[in-house]
Amino acid sequence: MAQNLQLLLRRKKTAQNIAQIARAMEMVAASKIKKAQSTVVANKPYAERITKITSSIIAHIDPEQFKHPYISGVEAEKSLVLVISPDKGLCGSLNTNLFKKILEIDSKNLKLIAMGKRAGQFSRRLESELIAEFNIGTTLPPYGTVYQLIEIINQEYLSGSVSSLRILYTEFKSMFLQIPILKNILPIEPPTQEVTPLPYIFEPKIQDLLSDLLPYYLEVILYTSLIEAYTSEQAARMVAMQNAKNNALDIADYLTLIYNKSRQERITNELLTLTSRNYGE
Amino acid sequence: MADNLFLEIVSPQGIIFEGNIDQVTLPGVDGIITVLPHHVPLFTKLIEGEIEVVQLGKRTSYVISGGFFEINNNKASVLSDYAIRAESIAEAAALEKKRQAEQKLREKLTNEEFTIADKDLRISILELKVAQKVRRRQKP
Repeated sequence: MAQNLQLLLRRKKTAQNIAQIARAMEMVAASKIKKAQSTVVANKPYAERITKITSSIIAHIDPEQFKHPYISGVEAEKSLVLVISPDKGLCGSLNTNLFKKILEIDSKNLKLIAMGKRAGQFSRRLESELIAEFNIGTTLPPYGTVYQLIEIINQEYLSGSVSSLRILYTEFKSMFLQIPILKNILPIEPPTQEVTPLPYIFEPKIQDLLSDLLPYYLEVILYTSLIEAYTSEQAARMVAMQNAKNNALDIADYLTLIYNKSRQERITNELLTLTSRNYGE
Repeated sequence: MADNLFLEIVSPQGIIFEGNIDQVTLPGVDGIITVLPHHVPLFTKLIEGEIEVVQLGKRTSYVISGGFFEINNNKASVLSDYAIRAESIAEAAALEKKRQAEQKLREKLTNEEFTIADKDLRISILELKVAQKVRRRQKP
């Protein structure tokens, strides 16, 4: 009996410790998400403008005259996918959902760039070729991160060893909903809607401008996906840790009840033995 | 008819400047250009340099790392992947960035590291220059 009580006490302590750690992680994620969300919001006007201007210029350019591999595409068997994942686990089903999506893509003829330790670990087990692996880090990725990614992408894409670039990352819908999505990035698809003539004078020529604009376009898209993936990670972790904390507290409550009950039972039993012995004498 | 030109300077860090202005001077690829209200619609590339905004007769400076400029119908916007207001440049931080970039450039680097360090160096030198200029303007 006494041993049983000790055991209960220990289990209760364990549950409480888990709850404490989960609470700490939840609070860390909550503070990180605030900064991440404001970065996402701050980035939005810039990203919107760059994409808008790029697509309207592309719509205006005669594809016969202007040949840039970003637009006209290259012929190659393989395609390139950039997977953005967290470095760490403990963020609910975020990683699992992301990796399910990788499995949906035909893994042959695929080259992968893994941004985030988890994606790297997972990709190594696939048939696909993993050409580069980075850590996303535990803080908000700075804008400079995109340069090293672009370096590798250009190496593969411009040399003609891959025919397309796709990004797989977790889109941040809300605090409770993050969906993994696969986006086609390169070659850039010309917009389908009706084109309105651009009123601008272009200086230098529109063709030269476009070749300068395209790298910016790619940077913006990569950066947006990076910070969005990061925000998703923090949101998923916060919610997961909130649940973990609540569950641990529930267990602790339950164990406290059992502990108190069995302690009371023991006292009652001891009293009973004492009193009955007294009556016997 | 409004004689004002609406300008915004947008970067991934957010909207750095937004408001009605009298004129703006920008570092274009073919040289410095100054834009006044009722400018013809123009789209051009900018190189790294200083943007000087005149608002109600007051001058303010911004440093950008290159980007694009667009104006149409008295609405102008600057798109740049890095922009900072001259007054918010912390000279000490810029100096440190410059020193670090210089040190990095001296080491053997891979291509992408070199690009980043080189860009950092040029921006920090520019920041220092503009910050000193702004200080001189305020002093007398």
